[in-house]
Amino acid sequence: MESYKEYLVFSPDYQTKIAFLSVENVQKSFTIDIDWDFPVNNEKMKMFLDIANDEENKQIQSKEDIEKSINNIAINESNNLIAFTSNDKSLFLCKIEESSVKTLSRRCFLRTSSCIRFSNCGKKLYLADKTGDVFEYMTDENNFNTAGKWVFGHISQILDLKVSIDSKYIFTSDRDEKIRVTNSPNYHEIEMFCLGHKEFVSSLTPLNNSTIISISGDGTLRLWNLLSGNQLYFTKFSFTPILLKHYPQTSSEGILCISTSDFSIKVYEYQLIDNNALKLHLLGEKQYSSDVEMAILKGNFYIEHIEEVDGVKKVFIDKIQIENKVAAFEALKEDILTILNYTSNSSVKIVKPFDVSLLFKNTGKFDNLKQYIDRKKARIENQAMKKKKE
Amino acid sequence: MEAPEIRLPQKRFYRQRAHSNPISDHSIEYPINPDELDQDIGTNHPSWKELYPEIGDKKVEFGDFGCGYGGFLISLSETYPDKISIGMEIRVKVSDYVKDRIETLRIIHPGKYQNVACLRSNSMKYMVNYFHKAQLSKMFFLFPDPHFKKSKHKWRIINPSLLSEYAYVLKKEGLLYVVTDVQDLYDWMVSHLSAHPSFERLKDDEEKSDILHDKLLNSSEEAQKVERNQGSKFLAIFKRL
Repeated sequence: MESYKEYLVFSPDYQTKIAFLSVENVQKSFTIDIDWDFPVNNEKMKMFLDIANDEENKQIQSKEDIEKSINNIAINESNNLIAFTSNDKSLFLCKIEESSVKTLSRRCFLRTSSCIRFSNCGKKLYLADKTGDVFEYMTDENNFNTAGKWVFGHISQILDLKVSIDSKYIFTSDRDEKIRVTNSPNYHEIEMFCLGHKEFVSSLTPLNNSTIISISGDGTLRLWNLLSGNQLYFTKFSFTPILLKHYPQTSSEGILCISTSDFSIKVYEYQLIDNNALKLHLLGEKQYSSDVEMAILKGNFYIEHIEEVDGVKKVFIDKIQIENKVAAFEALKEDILTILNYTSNSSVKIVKPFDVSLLFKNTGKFDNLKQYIDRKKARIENQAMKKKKE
Repeated sequence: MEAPEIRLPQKRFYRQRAHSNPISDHSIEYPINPDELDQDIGTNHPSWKELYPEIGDKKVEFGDFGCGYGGFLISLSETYPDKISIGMEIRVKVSDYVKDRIETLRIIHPGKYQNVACLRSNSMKYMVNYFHKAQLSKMFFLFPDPHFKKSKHKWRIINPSLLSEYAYVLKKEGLLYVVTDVQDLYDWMVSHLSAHPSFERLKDDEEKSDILHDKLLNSSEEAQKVERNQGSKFLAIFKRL
């Protein structure tokens, strides 16, 4: 079978099509149409307990009246399964076959998804939602249409989820500055929390079986020992890092690609020293005009971006070429949509998994503390005055 | 005889409605992680040493989450003079009442009540910011907000997500206590705790012989209110496996 590792998979419009762009031979590229008519399996998700609960038991139905669009996309490691969630709260699972893609299942879920990720073996998929719950969906041949199962939850929006290299842990990060290390498959056991960030933790990744790195709205990148929760290293950037992609070259060296809140891409070489410190070296950067999407294929980084040319929005893909410790951004082809024969009524766009501006904590609104203390002070002074008078 | 100068705080100045949204961003200053509380002086938040000037090398071991007006917390101080207990309460005025109450008690009874303190915080969100893994040996959830509406069951302080966090901060063999006067909530809490692989309910006679059994049912303000209304009270104790 042909290896689909040669293809960059993305959605140019997050609505009608998934594109498979062959980097080696662009002529072999193709697109598939998302099958919005595929029937939804409305079987309820398995919760922790089947106690009567209106919300958990509410009839889940895909809404017909809303304009459908995709929220998250994930591809398994061997690039033969692709999953995506849509705003009608259904999870598509598709099998990539010879120049075609077959929809296997469309299962429902409860609340807006924030992240989906395949397990390392590709036999299951984790779906994290905006209220902090994580569900497990089987994706193997026998269970690809089985209802999802609740596995654990945060009391905050989950922003990223990754599986450890040895598959023993699930790492989740949330809006409340937390990184949680959960045992797998004993999801009820929390191994550790890595705490130190001062704003939402938007992205994380394991470097090896004992360390993870994370980036946050506090402008920092931190290195953690995932078993002790100890922070081993941190660096403060002059920008707000949002998403992180990582490609290891050896067990202690590799490339990090970071997108920022102001649409730029930074490429770093990192070196993990004695498993307790990190050395970062900036190899290159590029400023884009709007949202970008990062992908890794065969050890190379690709940046999907949208630019307006003569009033028409077009999709471009840059390949990051690293030579002599310098990262260069080279456009793959002038216009990707022409290669793909893309015709659609919907406009091209990149959907971000979350709106960064909403993640910073706006606590001012709820500051009833100062008011209360001021009133109390006045009361006590008043009493003291009265006493004096007496 | 002269009237005493120092009086316990009066509750009428601290009344606040019983419900609070545990999910929203309150203006709570919480520590970044438990290490921060072990420093001599806290950065944006009082350290353990500031809360318990005589704490020495001891660690907080008991936690009363949603401690209300602090009645049970105060009785914990008396029952376990060698253990450090913390009360957490999300309501600004109520937590301030408990702080003032402890401060006054410490003045009236020199040397006593040095082992209890109260924090205003949201334990549902920030539990693990305060306590290391396996730090606590007892956790109390007394008369928690029942959040009757089914859509708000997620806000209940005993729920499957949070039970894993409670298991994380509790030592092995540590105990988790729940008391309520609401039968529905009791059934909910017991079924969730029983279904969680990290917890096991104590036997009936073990629960009854717990030294705190009667105090759990009677010492908090909420418990006394239920008593006055002749309502029933339900208790369960679970062990961390």
